[in-house]
Amino acid sequence: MRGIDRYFKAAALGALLLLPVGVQSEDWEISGYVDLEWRYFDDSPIDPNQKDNFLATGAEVELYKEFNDGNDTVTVTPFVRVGQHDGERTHVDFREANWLHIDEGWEIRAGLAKVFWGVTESQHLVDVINQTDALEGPDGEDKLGQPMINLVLSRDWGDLSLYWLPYFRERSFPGSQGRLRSHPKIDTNYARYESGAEEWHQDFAVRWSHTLGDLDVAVSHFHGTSREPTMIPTLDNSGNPIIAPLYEQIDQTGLELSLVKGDWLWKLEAIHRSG
Amino acid sequence: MVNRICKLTFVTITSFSLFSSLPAQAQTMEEKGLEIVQEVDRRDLGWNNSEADMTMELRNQHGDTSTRFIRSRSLEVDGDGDKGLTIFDKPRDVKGTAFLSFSHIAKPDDQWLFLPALKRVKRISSRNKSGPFMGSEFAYEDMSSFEVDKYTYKYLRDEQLDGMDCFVVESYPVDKYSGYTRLVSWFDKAEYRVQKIDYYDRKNALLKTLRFNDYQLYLDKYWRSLKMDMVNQQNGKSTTLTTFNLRFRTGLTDKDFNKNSLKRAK
Repeated sequence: MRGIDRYFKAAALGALLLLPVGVQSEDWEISGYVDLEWRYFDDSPIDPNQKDNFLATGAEVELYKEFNDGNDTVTVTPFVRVGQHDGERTHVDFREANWLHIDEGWEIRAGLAKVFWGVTESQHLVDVINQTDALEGPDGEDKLGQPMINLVLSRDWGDLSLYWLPYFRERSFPGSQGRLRSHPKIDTNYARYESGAEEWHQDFAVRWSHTLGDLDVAVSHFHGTSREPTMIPTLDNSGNPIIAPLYEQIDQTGLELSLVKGDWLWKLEAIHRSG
Repeated sequence: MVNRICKLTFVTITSFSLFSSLPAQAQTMEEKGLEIVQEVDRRDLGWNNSEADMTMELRNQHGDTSTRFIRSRSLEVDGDGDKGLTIFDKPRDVKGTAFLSFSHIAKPDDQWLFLPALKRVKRISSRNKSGPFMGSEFAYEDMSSFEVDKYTYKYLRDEQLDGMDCFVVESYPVDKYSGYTRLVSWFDKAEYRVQKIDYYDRKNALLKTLRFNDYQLYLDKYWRSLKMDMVNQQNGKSTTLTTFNLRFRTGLTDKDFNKNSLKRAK
């Protein structure tokens, strides 16, 4: 993966303008932002197709409504990015579109949702539920909405969260004109799956979390399609070299610890992945 | 359980002082200070839970002001410090931020922060209790629930404050990470409500003065100050914490004060 190095060597210059907006109408709470982005790359690209200057604009709106005294809520969060040059970067997503019911000792969420697992700041090993929105940036912090049914049981012995993830979402990558990409480029048209069910493989996950005094602990297990593809160098139908993503079946067990000791916060994330 | 022990101790001390006052052998100033504060605490037992809307008005030495809007939920915990959930509504850049804290008597508070932009709950260290709460003149430790055993006490004198007969009691924080060497508090003799606190910094210089105004009686038993004015005597800044729409026993339980509820606090 020679090209990946370029991700981090390339000097990028960006200007970002954020406009927060908030409205309250008819019990729907509406908030969001509009941004204007300019990215400039000082280094010349390896692939002459790639551009140096990119203008883009994006918007995210969150619509939120409570029913039944706040025991039921609906959250809908559409997101749109429109970018110059690279057509792949122009994309639309529902970060969230779900219904949540809260009851005594349990809650259930159904729809597209965003779930974060983990305690560390920059590297998220344990976090496995949502697919990364790799078009937004290379840091992996932006996520696509994941279809799920999530049941949470709150008991004296902690919170137990059960997930059924009925549909898998592929990772998107910058197109041939885009910057911060590998060379040759990753072509999602050639994405392959280990499972014959492809994106309809039924994934399951479970996570237990609890607070024991100064220690916050969570143990999780995920069974299903890896969100992180293995990159396979290959040729496309016309014989051009490309990289094809391969989505494998994995079992991943994760451990998260966060311990407060005086001014110090000690954090640990560990995973065991097989498959 | 600890509550019962506290009450027993209180009863023991009172009977002891009644008994021993006969041969004119006065209790020490420390005992009298503790006795006053225990009475303050006893009168505030049993409120269970409450919710309120609040504004926090910050004023600098030039008179410029900025206002924060918050909502707070509190749960009384038997034998330990209270649980609190604070949700920030305005200004918009902090909207949706929520702060969960479990106060403790003998050990540091447990605190978590929910950051809406990241949609993540983070455990935070409570060691820096002398740090400002939301940029105000209130420190985190001023916002934490009052528990008798967090301080040791000494009765100083009787004094009139705004025409009210008051006990003046000095308190010394037990926690070595407190930002104060001592607090001087005025309690009115009629209702045992705190009326004024002078805070002395680590150099034992007067740092801040807090005045409790607009006391209202709830559930025929619990007095709450609806307007608290904190003035920093060293830099001239001040903060007014005003409470609106205070409701008691709204049905909040333990379940409303955990990391999961913090995540969906709106």
